[in-house]
Amino acid sequence: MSGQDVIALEKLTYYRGQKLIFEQLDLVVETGKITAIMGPSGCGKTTLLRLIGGQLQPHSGTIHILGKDLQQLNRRELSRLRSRMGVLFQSGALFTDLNVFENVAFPMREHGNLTEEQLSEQVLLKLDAVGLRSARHLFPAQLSGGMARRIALARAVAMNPEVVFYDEPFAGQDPIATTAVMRLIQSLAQAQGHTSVLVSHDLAETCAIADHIILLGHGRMLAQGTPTQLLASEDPVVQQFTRGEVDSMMPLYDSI
Amino acid sequence: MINLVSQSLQWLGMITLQRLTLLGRAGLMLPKALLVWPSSRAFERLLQQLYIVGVQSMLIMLVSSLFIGAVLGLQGYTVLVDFGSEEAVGQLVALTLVRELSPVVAALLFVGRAGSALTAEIGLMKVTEQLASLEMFGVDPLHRIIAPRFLAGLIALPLLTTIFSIMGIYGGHIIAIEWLGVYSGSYWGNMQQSVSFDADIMQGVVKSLVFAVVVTWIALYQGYAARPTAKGISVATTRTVVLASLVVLGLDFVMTALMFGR
Repeated sequence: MSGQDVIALEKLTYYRGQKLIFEQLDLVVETGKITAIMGPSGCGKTTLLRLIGGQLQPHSGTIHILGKDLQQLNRRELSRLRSRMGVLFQSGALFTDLNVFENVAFPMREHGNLTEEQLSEQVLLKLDAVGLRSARHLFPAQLSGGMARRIALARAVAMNPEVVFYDEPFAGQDPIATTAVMRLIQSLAQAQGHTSVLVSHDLAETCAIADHIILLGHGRMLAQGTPTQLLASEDPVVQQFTRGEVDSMMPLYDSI
Repeated sequence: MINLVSQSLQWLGMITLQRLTLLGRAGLMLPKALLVWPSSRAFERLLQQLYIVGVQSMLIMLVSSLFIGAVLGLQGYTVLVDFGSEEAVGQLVALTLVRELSPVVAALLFVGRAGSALTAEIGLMKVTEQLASLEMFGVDPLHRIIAPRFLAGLIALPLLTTIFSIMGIYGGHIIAIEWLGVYSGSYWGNMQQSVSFDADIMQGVVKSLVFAVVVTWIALYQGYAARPTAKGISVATTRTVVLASLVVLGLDFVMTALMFGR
C-alpha cells in the first residue's frame, strides 16, 4: 500500500455460505479520485463495500483503509475510523422515525461536539449543497426517491469524511434525478476534496464522472483503467460488459 | 439400513446444533443490548417506545378486558345461582383474572398488537439498510434499536396486565350488579376477602413480567435475525406470533404448577 492509496485490498477471499464471492482479490483506490467498481449484478459489489466498511469479515487477506488494517482494529477504533467515512446506501437508508433535518444531523450528534446553533447551521449548509433546504421538516416517507437519495447524500458527507462510498447511486432514478446525483457526486468531491468510491452497473453515468474504473467478475478483477481505456478495451470480457452483449462466448454470469 | 440410521442421526444432530446456535445468538443479543451505560437521550427513546408499545396497546386491552370480565360475570352467575351462591361471582371474576386470564390474555394480545409490529419494524429497518447505516455511523443497533424496545416491553406489559385486571373486574361488575342484580356489597366484599395480595396479585404480576421478557425478546430477535426480504419479514412476523403465543401458554402452565400446584 503506497501513501497515495485510501483503500488497499490484498489477497482478499470471501465466501457467502459455500459460494466463493472473491478469490485472492487485490485492489487499490487512490486518494482524491472518483473510483468506480463495476461488474454485473450479483458479482459482489455491495459485498465488497460491506467488507471495506468492516461490516463483514473476509475469510483471508487484508483490508487497509485510511492507513489502518481493518482486522487489527477493536470496536472503538473501528467506530472512530467509520466516522471518517461516509456511505450512501442503495436504498438511501434514511431513518424513518427522524425527519430530514434530524437525519442529516444524526452523525453530527453522534460524533461531533457542536452546539445546537452550530449544528443547525451545518445541517442547513449540507441541505443547501443538495438543494433541499426547504425539505428539512419532511419525513422520509414524504420524499420522492430522488429527494431521499439527495438527503442521504447530504447525510453521508455531513461529517466531511475523507472517503465516501456510493452504493448504486443511480439505480431506480429518473434521468433528471440521475443527472442531479451525478453532478452532486462530482461537486461534493471537488468541494470537500474527499475520495469517492462508486459501486455501480450503470455504465454511461459511471463513465461520465469516474476517474478510474475497476471491473469485477468471477470473484476477481477483470480489468481496470480510465473510462476511455475501458471503453476502448479489446478484451472480450470487458467488451461483453461495456457493450451489453448477451450472447457472448464469455460466461460472465455463469460462475456468479 | 445402517445408512438410514446414520443419516437420521446426522439430520438430528444438524437440527439440534442449528437450534442451539439460534438460542445462543438470541441469548447473546440481550446482554449485548442492555449491558451498556445509557446515553443522555436513552430515556427519551424509552419514553417514545413506551408510548408505541404501551399506550397504543391500551385500547385493545381495555375493550378485551371489559368483554372478558363481562363473560366471566355472566357465566359465573349462571352456575353459581343454581347453588344460591351468586354473591361469590366477584371472587370468581377477580381470581380468574388476576391469577390466569389477565397475564395470559394480555400477553397474547400484546404479541399480536405490539410483538408483531416490533418484528416487522426491525425487519423493515434491516431491509432498508437502516441497521447497516447505524453501524456505519459507529452506533450499535443493539443499543439504539433493541434496548429501548426491550425495556419498553418489560415495563408496558405488567402495567397493561394490571389495567386488564381492573377493567375485567369492572366488566364483571356491570353484568353481575347492574344487570343481574347481585348485591354490590357481596360482590366487592367476597372479592376483598378471598383475593390475597401476595398469593394472587403478586403471582399474576410475576407471570406478566416473565411473559413480558419472553414475548419482547422473541419479537425483537425475530426482527433482528429476519432475512432482509419481503418473505423474510412475513416469516419472521408469523414466527413471532406463533412462537411467542405458544411459549406464553406453555410457561403459564409451568408457572401455575410451581405457584399453585401441590
